[in-house]
Amino acid sequence: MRRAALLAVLVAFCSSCGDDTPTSPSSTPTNATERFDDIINVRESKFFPFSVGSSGTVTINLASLSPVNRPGAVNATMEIGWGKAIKDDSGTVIGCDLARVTQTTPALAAQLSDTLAPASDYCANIADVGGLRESVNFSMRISHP
Amino acid sequence: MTRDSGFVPRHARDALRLSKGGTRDWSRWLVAAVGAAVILAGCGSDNTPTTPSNPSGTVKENWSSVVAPGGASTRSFTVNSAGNIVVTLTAGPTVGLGVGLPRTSGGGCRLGVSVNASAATTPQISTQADAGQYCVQVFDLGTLTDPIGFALTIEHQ
Repeated sequence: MRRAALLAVLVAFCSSCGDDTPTSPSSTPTNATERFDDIINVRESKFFPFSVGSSGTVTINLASLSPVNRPGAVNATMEIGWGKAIKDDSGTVIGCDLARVTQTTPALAAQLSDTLAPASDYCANIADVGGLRESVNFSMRISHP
Repeated sequence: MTRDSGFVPRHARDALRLSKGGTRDWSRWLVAAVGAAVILAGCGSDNTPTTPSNPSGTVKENWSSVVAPGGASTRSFTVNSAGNIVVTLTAGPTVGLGVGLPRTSGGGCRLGVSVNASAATTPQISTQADAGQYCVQVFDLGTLTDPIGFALTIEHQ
């Protein structure tokens, strides 16, 4: 009887130690975030090349449009997008072959999200589609694998 | 002289039997107690105290400073997870108030959201934001003639 009671107590103790159950390892890749800050003029476009090391999700955020010579923000509609980087024979990126675009005003959360595959050289693009009345500073964030 | 005859009185034999039985009982309980202690020691991670967390995960920062005529004052902060950034100008003159990304060099703030704000108890800016580095900026709208103080609160994840 005593042995049975002792065994029952030990089992009860052991059963309370169950929180150390191993979890499945996460395979979510870590994204890098890059900033693309520049000035864009009326009816102009600019691109920013970036390399994707593995397939995954890219997010693009037009975070800011601001006047060049005074404080404040400009709430103009711009076109942002991503595509494949176009290279010349020497490997220099000379253009951006757009695959997806969207029109948006600045915000602090990503406006564009897509899965990029395969790993390659891509580009983020910003273009004035008639919303600008003056040259502005812009800030974009590109988060990619 | 006395002689050891090997005779042990009955009450002494009973006492000896009880004593031996008691020793065996104590040793069993000692083994059980040590075993239980070892097992319980392995359960310690469940009881590790953790830092109390804010259930909503919201961080509130207070900032007071001075804005000069034609100038701007900027403060940076970090959003740890996606959520709302809420800014309330609680004291000061009517100014430009904005939230954006810190400049990558040279200081300052590239605004994504901007309003003309007067001091109030209700937020002047509430905007969704991804995790990352941000800044809030107070700037003169061209109305100030002297440096003047202001106070605001920033709430974010």
